[in-house]
Amino acid sequence: MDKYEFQLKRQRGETLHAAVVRLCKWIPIAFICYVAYLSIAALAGKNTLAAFGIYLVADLKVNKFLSHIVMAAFGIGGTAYGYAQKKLQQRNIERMSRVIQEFENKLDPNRSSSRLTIKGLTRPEDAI
Amino acid sequence: MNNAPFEMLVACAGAAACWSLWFYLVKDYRVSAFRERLFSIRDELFAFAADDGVSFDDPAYLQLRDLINGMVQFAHRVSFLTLLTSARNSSSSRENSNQHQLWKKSLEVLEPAAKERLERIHEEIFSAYMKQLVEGSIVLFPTAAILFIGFSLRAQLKRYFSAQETAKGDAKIAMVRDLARTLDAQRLEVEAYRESKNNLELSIA
Repeated sequence: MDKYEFQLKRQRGETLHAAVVRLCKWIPIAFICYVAYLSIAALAGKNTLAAFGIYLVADLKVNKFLSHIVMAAFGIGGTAYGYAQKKLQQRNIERMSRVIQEFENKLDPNRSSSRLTIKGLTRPEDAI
Repeated sequence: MNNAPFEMLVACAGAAACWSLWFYLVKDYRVSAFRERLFSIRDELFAFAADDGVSFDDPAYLQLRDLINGMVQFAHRVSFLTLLTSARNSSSSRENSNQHQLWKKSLEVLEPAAKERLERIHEEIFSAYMKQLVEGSIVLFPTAAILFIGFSLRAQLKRYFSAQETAKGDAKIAMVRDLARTLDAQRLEVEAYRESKNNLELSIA
């Protein structure tokens, strides 16, 4: 097998892998959008947005309404908290990694690296 | 009024929220947690070398560190799907590119204590890798759960019928060790050696 044939084989494998990974990610959301579209199509001409609003708040008592608000705040707040922690951790990695690198280089000057970005993230060229 | 389409719309919104949570937050978290585990194993390896357990220039140390670095670099690619496609695309020139065998050969010249320690570190890497692989797959997770029940039962029966008192074995460790012996490590490590393997195989081709 020559060099170009090998590169072609490898590239074909990579393309297949990237395609399968992307399909696995986007097929579920495409299906969700399709079901949402069918639901909207079933409602078209029969109901209005106002009717949907009434459906959402109808037979809601004050305590049920409050519980929905609390649960939504909990979900959104939890997600925002997690996201903020992630950003904080990245800043921490950025600050600490240089110190660790300098310290390890003193003992092992030929120290090899993990080739992540300074924030500890995947490099764009390795992303797929 | 028929409420079914309304209910379906609300269900779709919930499903879309779960989808974005999985693909944009949970997956990232799992990769970061796996990297963190690998960094702690790498620190353990570095500390062992710093304590003169093994030389920083020893091929066995360098190859093991390269393996950890490769796994950290390509941690986002650890999945059952990637394992299947990379196994399918792996080169036929395996004897020449089997980095795991090269590492095993490098271990032979080490002191028994150093050899044992490096093997234990490799086992930790393998265990972290398997955990990441299994927990992220809806196919592998139930299979591993069944295997784990089998190993636990076997360990219990062994203890029950054994004449002598044996130490309480950890079924999870036993399962990982058994898998490490059974599975071809080269297949699992193929992603970690992506860059070096590419160069090596290109020079062979």
